[in-house]
Amino acid sequence: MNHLTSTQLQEYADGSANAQIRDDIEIHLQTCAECTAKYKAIRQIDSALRKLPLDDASPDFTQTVMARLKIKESPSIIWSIFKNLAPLFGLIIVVGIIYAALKISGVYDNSGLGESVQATQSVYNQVGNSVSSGISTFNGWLENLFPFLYTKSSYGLTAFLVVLFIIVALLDKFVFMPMMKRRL
Amino acid sequence: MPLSDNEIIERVRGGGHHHYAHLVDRYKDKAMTLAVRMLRDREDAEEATQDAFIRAYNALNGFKGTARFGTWFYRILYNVCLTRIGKKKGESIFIDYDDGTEYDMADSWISPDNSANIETKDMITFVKKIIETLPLKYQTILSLFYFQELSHEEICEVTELPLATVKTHLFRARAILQQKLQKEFQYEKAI
Repeated sequence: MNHLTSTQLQEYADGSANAQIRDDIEIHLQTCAECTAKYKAIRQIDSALRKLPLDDASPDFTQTVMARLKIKESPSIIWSIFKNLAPLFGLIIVVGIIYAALKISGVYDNSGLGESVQATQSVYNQVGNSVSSGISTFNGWLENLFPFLYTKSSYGLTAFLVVLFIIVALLDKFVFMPMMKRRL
Repeated sequence: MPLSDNEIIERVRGGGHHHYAHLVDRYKDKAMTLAVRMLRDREDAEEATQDAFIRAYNALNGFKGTARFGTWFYRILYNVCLTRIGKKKGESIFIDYDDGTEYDMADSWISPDNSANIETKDMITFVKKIIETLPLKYQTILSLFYFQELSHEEICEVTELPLATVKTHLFRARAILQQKLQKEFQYEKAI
């Protein structure tokens, strides 16, 4: 009986033997103890090689590669909204500060600016009243849902939501996103 | 369900550059293993692997998708490592010495009885120790086959070696491993 060569057995073990040769080898292995022993030894080495551990890259490997590529980490949705709304927040704050300064110093009342805009203001007032009645209705719903927010004034709700939004955005940016990135 | 390599590549090409981090995470350990086997120095291997990821990113538009991303990327890494070795030694590590002769190791096979004993002596530890003593070309081919899980044909694509040479390298690497393992076992037995 012609025994199988080591090359044939290894190709069979690797799965690279063609279908015809594979069938022949299988038939031979059923009747030849010597070749079966060889094949078992090959499988044993093969199995040990497949179980060898990988060499892990350093924990900050991905961050280093991305930094070298100058690619910013995955932008979070909440952070993006916060960043996009930042100019609007800034504008409201600046306008509010200017208005408060003019009002406190008396410049606004003495300059006649108030009178000249009175006509315009009446239009604004109408629009404002409509908006305000809408907000009041919405506010009423919220008050029923979250009564604890209305113990002092309805402005508490606005302040609460703004602060909550900022906290969530900051947590998302500096805590959750780095955690997710580490898990990738 | 995790995105496939090609889906990630499409997103990166579409402007979602940060998605590349997923590919890096997916391949970094296997890539490091190949680089460590080729360069035999962790620090050097880490730098080479980073360089390969950067080159791959810059060449991503040239990736046609006809081969697996892994095969394409390992080819880049393999060349980066070869360049580093060449700079160190001033020569190529691969010499095609396939003479077409049958390389039968009939006398060197471990008998089933002995192999059972070796298993109890933690064969994996033996193999790990012995594999590090193999010539560079064998370690590289073994790594590409067992760690990067490439087929013979894919190894040809990565190394640009003929199929017969890849098979011969792989066969000889395992034959040497068998011989050394048997010697080790006999030595252990004699003590």
